[in-house]
Amino acid sequence: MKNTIFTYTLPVLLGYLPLGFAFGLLLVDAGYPWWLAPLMSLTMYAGAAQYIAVGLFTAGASLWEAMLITLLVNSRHLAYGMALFNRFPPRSLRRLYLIFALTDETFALLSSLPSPQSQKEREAYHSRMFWIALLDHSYWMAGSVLGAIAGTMLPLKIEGIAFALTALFIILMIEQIFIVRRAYPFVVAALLTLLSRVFLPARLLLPVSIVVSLLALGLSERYVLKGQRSLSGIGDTGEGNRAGTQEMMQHSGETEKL
Amino acid sequence: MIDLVHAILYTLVMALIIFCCRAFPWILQGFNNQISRVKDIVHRKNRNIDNQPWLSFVERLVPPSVMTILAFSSILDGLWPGSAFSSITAITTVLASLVTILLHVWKRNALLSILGGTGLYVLLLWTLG
Repeated sequence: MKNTIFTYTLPVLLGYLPLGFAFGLLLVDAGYPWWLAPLMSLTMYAGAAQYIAVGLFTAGASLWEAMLITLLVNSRHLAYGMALFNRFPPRSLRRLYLIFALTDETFALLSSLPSPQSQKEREAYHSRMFWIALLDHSYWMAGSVLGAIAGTMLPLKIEGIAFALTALFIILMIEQIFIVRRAYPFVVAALLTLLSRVFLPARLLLPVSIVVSLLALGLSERYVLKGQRSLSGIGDTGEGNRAGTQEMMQHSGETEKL
Repeated sequence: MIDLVHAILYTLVMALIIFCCRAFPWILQGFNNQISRVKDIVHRKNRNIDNQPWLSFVERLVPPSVMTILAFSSILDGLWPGSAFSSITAITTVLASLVTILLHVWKRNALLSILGGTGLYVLLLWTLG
């Protein structure tokens, strides 16, 4: 059984090793000791948020700024827990670990596991879930340790490797475009980012543009687009919301993003 | 740049926030169970976590706008790094971003798009800079 679980998680291994490696390299390049990389991968265990943390550390961001950005970047995980809510095992340490380890990739693997048919299968299903989550976490840890150690041993600084972060954000945005299939949230957010960049100091850019664009989108949903089938489902029936969420889940499950 | 002690503190706080995001439905359930025990007696209403409109707002509007802001702000950082305009970093950023977009729309493989875009960026910096 262990062997089939390993082959099932193989695509995540191929993705997590290089991405974890790049994270370790980036963190050591920024001037931190190598062991901070496994510490972050052990406790945070989130691809995008760990990359962003390196940027926040080097920019000398305040704790409030770091908290707000972490919350907003990881808000997509709210939906993952809801999708797997009834499939997870009953209250136990194993369930606690599964909730902790619910990254995009682990969610994709867990949500495409076939559901158990009998009570006997349920136990095997829950243990399979646990091993998948544990293996994925270990790949991410291994990648970041290797990257951090390579960063301390190699004297050369690879200039431009931080572009990996920009590339990551670009692909996460494209994935969102494929899911949402509506131009206006993207156009509003992009324009507000440009305006903030021109008129505000760099430190205020992220928090201000995030808060203002959410306010603008929320208000336009509420008052401008009220008649149409709105994006957030405000004014829809509960059934509409449910269908929309499931549609989103399916898309998240299909794609391999961070 | 913040010092090591602060970096560890930030890491633990961010880890807690990430865990709360992932555990949110379970936290909400625990909270709802407490409330509904009282409210069910009065209203006899079924409180379902799927039927909360503000949660749907968070789910559907926050990810697209946050990802767009992060992507655009880091591209703009490449175009105007600090205060001085550098034509080399501007060109490399634009080209590498375009390649990342094209690779991702074409193959939709996160690893390929990131490695392709970053590889091109490093190469261009090397040859132009």
